[in-house]
Amino acid sequence: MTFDIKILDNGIKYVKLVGRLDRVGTNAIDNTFTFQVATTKAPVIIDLSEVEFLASIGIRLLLSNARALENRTGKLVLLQPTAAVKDVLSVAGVDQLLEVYDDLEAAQLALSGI
Amino acid sequence: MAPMPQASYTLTLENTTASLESLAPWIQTVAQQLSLTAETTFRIDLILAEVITNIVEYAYSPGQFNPILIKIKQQANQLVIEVQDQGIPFDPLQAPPVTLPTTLQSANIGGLGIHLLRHYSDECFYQRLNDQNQLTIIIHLPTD
Repeated sequence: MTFDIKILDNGIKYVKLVGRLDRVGTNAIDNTFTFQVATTKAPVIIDLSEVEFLASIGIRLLLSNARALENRTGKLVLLQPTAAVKDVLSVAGVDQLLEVYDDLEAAQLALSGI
Repeated sequence: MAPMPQASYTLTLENTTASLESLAPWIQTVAQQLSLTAETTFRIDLILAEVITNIVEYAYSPGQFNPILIKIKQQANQLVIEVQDQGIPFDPLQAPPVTLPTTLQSANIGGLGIHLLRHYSDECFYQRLNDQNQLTIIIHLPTD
């Protein structure tokens, strides 16, 4: 599991996750991900297009970071999950807590003014 | 030529986080040999990730090493997945249904694993037998 962060022109953090968000993958990035994603209030887009697997421990990572950002008046949205990952997000109710977008422009629009 | 499917596939893991690394590759190999669809493979992957993580985290006292036995077999149009461990008696199916949170702040971050297990399996049974937890999960295979 790896992730890469770019700062977009509008100050949004664009975070691309690659690999499996299972116990092994989540443990591999947990601390550095949280440090880089949730310790400022800059809005965050998490690109899930290359996350091939999502288990409950990965959901906890996404939710705890989203909550930390919300507490700083920031916001985190999800981008382009695969069909299988989207289904897990729906079954776990995450799509009711976090906004999920299929294109980058819409995700950026949702974060404008944050 | 693809190898002939076997009657059943077994994997024995230690109850350590490190041993979880061999789980997903094993599932991929079994899925390939049984010619399972990507969707069915994902379901097995998710179910076993949740069940085995739970056993590794909760079934044993710290420093207590014990095997976890996983068996997958195909029976007609269904897959039977059996998981056995020698940990403390624990029937995950007795856990109350999860109430999904409505706000991030109220999101109770635990309990999701069993919710996912229930959702992604078609049938699930638990029994305590010979001082072992035995969880049996059935997945109905899609018909052509």
